[in-house]
Amino acid sequence: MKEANPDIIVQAERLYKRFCRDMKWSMWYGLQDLLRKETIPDPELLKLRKHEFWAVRDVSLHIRRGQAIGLIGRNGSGKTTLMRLISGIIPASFGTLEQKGRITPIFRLRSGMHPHYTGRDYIYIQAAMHGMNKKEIDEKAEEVIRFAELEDFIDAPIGTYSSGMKARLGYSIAIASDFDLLIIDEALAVGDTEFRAKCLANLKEISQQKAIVFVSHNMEMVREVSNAIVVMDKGKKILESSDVDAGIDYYYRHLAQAGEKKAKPRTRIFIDKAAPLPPVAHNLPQQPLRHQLELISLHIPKTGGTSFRKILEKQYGPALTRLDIRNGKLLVDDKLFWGTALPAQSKVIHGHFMYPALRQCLAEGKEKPKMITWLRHPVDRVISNYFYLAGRMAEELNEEEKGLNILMKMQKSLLEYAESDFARNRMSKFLEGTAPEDFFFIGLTEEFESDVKKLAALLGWKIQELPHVNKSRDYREGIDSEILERIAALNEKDMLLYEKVIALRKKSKY
Amino acid sequence: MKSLKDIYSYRYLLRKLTLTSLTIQFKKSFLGISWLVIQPLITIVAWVLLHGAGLFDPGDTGIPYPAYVLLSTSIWALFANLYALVSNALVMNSQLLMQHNFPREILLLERGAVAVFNAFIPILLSLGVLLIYGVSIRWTIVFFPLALLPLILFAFSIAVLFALVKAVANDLNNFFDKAIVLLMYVTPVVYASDPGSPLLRSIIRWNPLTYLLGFPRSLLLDSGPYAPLEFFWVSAGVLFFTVIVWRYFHHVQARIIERLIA
Repeated sequence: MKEANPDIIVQAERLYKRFCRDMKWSMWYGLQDLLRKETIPDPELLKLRKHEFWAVRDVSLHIRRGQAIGLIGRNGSGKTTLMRLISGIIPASFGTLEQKGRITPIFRLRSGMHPHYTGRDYIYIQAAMHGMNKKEIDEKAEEVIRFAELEDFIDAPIGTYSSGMKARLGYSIAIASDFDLLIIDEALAVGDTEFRAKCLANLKEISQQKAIVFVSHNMEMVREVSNAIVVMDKGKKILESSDVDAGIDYYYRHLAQAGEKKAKPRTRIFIDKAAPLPPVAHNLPQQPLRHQLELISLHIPKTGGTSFRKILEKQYGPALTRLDIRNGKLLVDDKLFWGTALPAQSKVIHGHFMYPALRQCLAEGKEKPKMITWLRHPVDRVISNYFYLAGRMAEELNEEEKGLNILMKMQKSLLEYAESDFARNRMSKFLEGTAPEDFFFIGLTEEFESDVKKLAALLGWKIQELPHVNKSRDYREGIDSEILERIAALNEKDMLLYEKVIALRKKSKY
Repeated sequence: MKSLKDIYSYRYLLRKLTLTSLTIQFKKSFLGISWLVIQPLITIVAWVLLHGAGLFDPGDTGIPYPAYVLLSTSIWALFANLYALVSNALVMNSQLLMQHNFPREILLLERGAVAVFNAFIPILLSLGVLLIYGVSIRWTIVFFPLALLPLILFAFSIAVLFALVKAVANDLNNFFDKAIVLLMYVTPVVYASDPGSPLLRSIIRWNPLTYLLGFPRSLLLDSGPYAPLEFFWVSAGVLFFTVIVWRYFHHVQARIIERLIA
């Protein structure tokens, strides 16, 4: 080694790895490889064979003791390949790699072991693959089982384990091996929150004397674990920094730029946080309105509420009143309302209003009206809301072509929209001040048809035909998984709410 | 040499994998280990029926035909099992290979050990059958396990080569797997070593398996050692072949294993 730094565990210089996209050609090159080894004088001058590409291209990396490197990048940016090179699982096509000490990698792959093996066999075999001998494993086995919290299952076949249990076991075995460098490639992604928290605490402790490379799409975890960051794109290292926040920021900006090139203009919109709301007559009632309501249907945007309103219209006819509260305005049947009581025939209201605002407007009756609302998976809801607004925006722009250029410049990407305070945890904002348990029924957009049938049975409706509800998740296809995960993280409160309602539904609360 | 040292440092992995595989294969099966006995019995019944119906003439086998078939097919099973298990060792473990860095030879050796263990039970059983048929077993039997070694090495080395080929190209394995089955018919397994057909006779003469299988078998029977000189030379060749294959594997494995799809 050129520099005799005892702290350097991995010294990788100009690593290159080429892969073949096409299986048939890969076979052909494989057969060639059986017969001869190709030497590459300079990879940048090498003409790649047909269907080949650089999965890793000119990456140099030094990993020192005490470092916890967060490795981030989009799917297919070469993160896992680089980790396989560094841990010696596959050879580099070009470049030099020097390793000192034991490198223990864990990947997010199926274990590849016979499902009849018991958890205990699994520990011994995996640990032996990490290079431990029997004595070492005997000493550590109980500790591994305890850390993985699998005392009761350890002699059951691993085929009966959930993916989270396997991930827990895999992690516990890896940290028991006396490693110098631990590589965690998305291996914690399937574990539950509690175990993740435990691992994070554990990793921080480890990184004091050893080294860690943490590959993840979960930026919150990367922030927690790492004290350095490497960003990859298209096989190349595009950033290495000891400022983790700056690195993540850089990555997001890079993602947004890449997304901008791909996205069509109509899928982008603008929301200007700074722009003041137009001045409006404040008409919220001074005194709570009197009413004889039996049913309140709270419509959270993009949860199927419009379709539900059509059903209510059929069932209740004139007894249904539309009521919206927004920007300090109370609208009844789309008109500003100045009265002191709701129309006498109103038995049911439906509309957009946040719960706290509604409570201000309505008087408390003797009997509490039944409350109904719909929830949808927060990530889907945010995306759907974004595309809805984007579509509206496009229409507006077409009507006023003059303003097009200025407005286009102010447009926001999906991620920017999702990051705005306005878009975050919107479902929770609508239901603030109330608990899901207080509702007579909370439906899920995903289960719209069967939920409407359930409601019909509860309320004695006769349903002839169900309106169409758009609950497709197709648009998720075109969106990077990092962005999806980011949206989920931004809407943590909504995620919890959504999960709580699912749990309540399982207990057949509704 | 470095490869042998690496393997030695992972010896516990080899031992643990082998023991676990051996116990696991009978764990969730109703008849358990008796499968190792039932399978060869089915083979004998098939061949004895064919023979009894006069469909073919095995030549002078020296001992009662059912005993001969049982003994020969169980030795052949050693060859066939070794090929089947070892040649699939890389393909079947692609997941493990893509997430751990341990000497890949461990997997080959483990499959080999399992195959040898599985073959020895039917061989022992067939020795019992020989006694029932009143064949007097000679003292040379003590050399029998040693004499099987060249056959084991030969099967293992061929299988290692094909393990590499299978890792690259999946469709070629069907072809070679069938070819291995056909090999049994050009080796004196279910018939005696000097069949009537002159073509078959010359194939047998140049087929190394004839000696690798015939010599150890003859150590159990009254007939005297079969072609000891040829056996010696073939064994020497096999040893040489094994060393070459082993080194070749070590040399190419890294760039072949990356072609596996995990």
